[in-house]
Amino acid sequence: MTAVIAPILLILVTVGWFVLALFPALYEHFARTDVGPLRVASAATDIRYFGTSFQGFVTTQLELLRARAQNTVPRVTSLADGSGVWYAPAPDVESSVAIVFSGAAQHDIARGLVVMSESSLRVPDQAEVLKELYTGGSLETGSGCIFRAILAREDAALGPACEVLRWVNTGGAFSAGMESVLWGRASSWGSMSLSEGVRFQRIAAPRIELGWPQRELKRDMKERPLMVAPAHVTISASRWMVNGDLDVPAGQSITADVIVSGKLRVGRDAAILGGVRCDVLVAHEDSIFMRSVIATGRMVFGARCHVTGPVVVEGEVVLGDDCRVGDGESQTTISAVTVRAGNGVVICGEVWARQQGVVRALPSQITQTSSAA
Amino acid sequence: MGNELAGIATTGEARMNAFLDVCFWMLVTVIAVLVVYTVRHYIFTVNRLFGRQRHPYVDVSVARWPAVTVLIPAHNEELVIGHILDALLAGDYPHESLTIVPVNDRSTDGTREVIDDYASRYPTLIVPMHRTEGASGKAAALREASEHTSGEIIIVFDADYVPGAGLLRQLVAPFFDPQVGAVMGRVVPLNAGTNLLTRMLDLERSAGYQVDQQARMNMRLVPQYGGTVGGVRSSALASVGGWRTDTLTEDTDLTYRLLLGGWEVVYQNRSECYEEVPEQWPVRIRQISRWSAGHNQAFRDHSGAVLRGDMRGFRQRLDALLLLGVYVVAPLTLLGWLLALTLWYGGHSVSGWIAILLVASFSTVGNFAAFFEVAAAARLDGHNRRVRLLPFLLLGFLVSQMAVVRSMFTFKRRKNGSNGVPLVQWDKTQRYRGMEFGVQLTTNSSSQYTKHSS
Amino acid sequence: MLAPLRRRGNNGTIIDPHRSIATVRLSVVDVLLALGVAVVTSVTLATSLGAIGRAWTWMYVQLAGPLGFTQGVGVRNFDSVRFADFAVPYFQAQAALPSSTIWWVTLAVTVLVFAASFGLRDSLLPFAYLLRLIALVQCSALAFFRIAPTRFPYDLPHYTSSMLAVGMAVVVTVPVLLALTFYVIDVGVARKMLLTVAMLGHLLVFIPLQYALHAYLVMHASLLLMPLLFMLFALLPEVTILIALYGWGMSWRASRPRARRE
Repeated sequence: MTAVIAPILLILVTVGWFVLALFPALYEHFARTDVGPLRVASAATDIRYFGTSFQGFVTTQLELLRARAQNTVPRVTSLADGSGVWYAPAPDVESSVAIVFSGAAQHDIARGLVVMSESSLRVPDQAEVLKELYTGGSLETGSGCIFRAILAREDAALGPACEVLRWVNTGGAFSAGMESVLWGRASSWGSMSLSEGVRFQRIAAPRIELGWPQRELKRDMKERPLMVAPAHVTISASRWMVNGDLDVPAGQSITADVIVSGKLRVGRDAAILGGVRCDVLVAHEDSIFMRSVIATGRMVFGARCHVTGPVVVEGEVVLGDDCRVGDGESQTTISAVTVRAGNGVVICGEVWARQQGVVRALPSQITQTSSAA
Repeated sequence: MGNELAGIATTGEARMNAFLDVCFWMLVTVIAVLVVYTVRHYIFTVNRLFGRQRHPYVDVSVARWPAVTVLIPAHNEELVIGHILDALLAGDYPHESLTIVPVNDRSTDGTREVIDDYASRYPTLIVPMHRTEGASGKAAALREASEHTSGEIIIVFDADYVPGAGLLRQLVAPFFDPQVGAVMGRVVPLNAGTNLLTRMLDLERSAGYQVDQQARMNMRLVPQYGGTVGGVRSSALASVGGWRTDTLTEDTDLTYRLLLGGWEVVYQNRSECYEEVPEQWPVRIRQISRWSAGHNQAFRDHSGAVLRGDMRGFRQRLDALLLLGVYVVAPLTLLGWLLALTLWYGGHSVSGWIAILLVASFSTVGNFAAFFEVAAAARLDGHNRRVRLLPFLLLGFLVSQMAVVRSMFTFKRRKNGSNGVPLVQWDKTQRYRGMEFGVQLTTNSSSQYTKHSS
Repeated sequence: MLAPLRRRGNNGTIIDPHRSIATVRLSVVDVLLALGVAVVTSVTLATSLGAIGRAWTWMYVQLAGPLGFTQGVGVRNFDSVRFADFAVPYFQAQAALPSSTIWWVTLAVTVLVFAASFGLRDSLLPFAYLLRLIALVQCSALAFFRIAPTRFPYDLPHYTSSMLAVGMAVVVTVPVLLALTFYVIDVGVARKMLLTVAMLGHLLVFIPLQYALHAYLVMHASLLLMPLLFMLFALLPEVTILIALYGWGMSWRASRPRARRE
């Protein structure tokens, strides 16, 4: 009897012990706890996504809040989901401005009240609003304020040393005072103006002005003599291919795409009409790039350079004073790990500083910095 | 007499030992190659998990967008062709710079009618091409369509793909880099949960794109253009001679011709697009057989040029070579296995604890690298629990191995037709999606805001 | 103090980077910890080799009688393992060469298995391939024992003890394997230890059972079965166990938010 049972038991125990290890796999196979496809976003990614979708949310909530409002006095109430909101109804006098915290203690708002105002809003110095803030009019803040997120239907002006933790979107002009910090996304349907010392990550507007008041600069499209390809340049499929470095002499131009495995130095007032790809770019003052500029390392533009196409850098990009990137007719994108922009820089489109961008006065001779790049 | 017999026996013994020694060193060589691939898997996975991620072009969302032609080769695709046209029309690529060309190649179902209906409704956007003659197959369809396009960039989708609204811009963005010749996006199985096969393929795809392709992008190696959810620069295509019609995998072939021509192929992990994966094993076997046959054809065609150093950089060359040889691993493994069996029967033993450790290490650590890659990919995707299916992949690998080995013979015969003319025809994967998917697609694309998403 | 709020949604949950750019955090401390766990486990294993061998021997002594190995259990010492008194057991019994009847019966079964593999439905195709592989290996054994049965170089005691030694080697590689592929993952130290113990514990029980079963089958079905058991039912199940448990471990939730490195 044992001679029969023992081997059967051995088989059962061995196979059973083996299958025990497979239990998590078999369970997942039969229970099917994780079978869905990855969720692929069908909507386009837009920097204003949070702003526009929050607007939709606000619209539904405002109807409820308006229905509940008995007078025009701001008060603390609740949203449809029960969360707290500081709500300022439309005032009797159209031009009046509501002041956050009238009717609520500062720490209540900082602790977790959404702020919604039907009309323009003013936020006093050092205020903290750690939930979303919405204003149907414009927004004006004092200094040292901290916000989680801001949606303003009209203009918004942040005072000095303010901080936005997640996003800000304005229907009108947006400005940030000196030494403010814009984490996440800042976008405006109007113009954007960031004072010196402002730090940012992702910003977008039809026209972004950085630092001191901008001057009107015309791109000089005069005819420049064509550069003769040096011996180490290979021309292939209308591209200049360079294994090593390339210097474009001052005042000359190249019409082809330029691909340089090393450093590309572009002399003063030179122009490249094709796209550029290099490791390091050093562009001296007044140089012009009519298409995209891509670098795997670093990019330094001297004062008053013009770039029309996208600027993509896998490291740092330095924009000298009064540089112009994109224009009113064709907005463009700057993408870099860090962005350092001098005063008077104007960018039309979007800037994505993956770590951080900063508006900071640059040394007067930016080309000296360039040579060290 | 006795001495003679003893002598013969000794000679036989010596011959046998010599034969076993040869087998042994062949096995060592096979294992060495497999170790290289193991190390490659491991390096890629570690790089993807912990390294610096390169996705330099993905932020480009505002620009003056170039003229783009989207080619959709289609052969009997009446079930799905409408979905992709709807999806492309709903996209945010500027319509004035966009031309959609469904290339209907000898469909015998209602594909032509569906395409013509769309073309009549969007005459400026959709310019159909109906092929009734000339060489058959996807590559031939692409070649003919490309010759008639004027766009700077050609984006290719298979007919069963469903691009999201922002996908075209994402795929076009890398072409602002003048060195980029081709771009590849990530393919995501839509029918991932249908059965065990689709779940395994979902894991494999995840590893292939999320880890393998992205790691190659990170390390500036050789990301591969995959023939769909990707695109190619028209001038680059022209400079390397256009699409080849005598290859089973025109995508792999094009990848190598571009690389050898001084262009760069880039991968965008963020540019995701749904596809359908095979739901039945025979369909899967046909798919992988075609891939491996085409890939091995590319190996024969391009390995020499890669070795001769027509590409920049040792690392890129090495990766290009290893990528070319990726479907040679299956027959090599089979060979190694046969050699091991022969040696075992012959009693050839490398004695000692070290040998035992080596065998055990290779069986465990060596086999593990691929599983590490799959598991890491699924974790990065945030779908941890499906990693539990890992042991089932052993069965999938077994089927793939057999299919790849078999394809080395069957596809060779198919390629050379009886009259010597290359015989590359439509070998498309079966579609499973129903018409009702179109409704679902429309519902999903109207994004609904929830406050919690910000 | 407000910095964490930058990475939180409005309902307080942490906003993970998109999967396409997400990475796993790995600090120097994590690497040192991974190495530490691997070293501690390896040292513990190395110093326990003798005890493990004795435990397996005890197990075989208990199994010998019921399984019909009347001559008892022998022990094979591995002198080359200098840091431990490592010895593995084997059943003291010699398996016979296949008789003509066994050979023909095995051939018939092999043909049946091969034919049956074609009858499986499409969804079971991998199992059909597995059956064909089994049939193929068994065919090689049939051919060998038809042509040169006396040249078969293995006997049962040597096979059992060698395979136990290889199994032990697999166990020894587990900490290295996990150090490379699991300890670097962000699942927390406790879970790393849990998976290590699960893998080692499972294998240390499975391996002696597996080869006791092999010994029993070879003893009763002759040496004709040994090639098949060696090629497909020795290391393969062990590796399958490792992969299955590894898959379980890798399915555990991360202990930290994912990172973003650009």
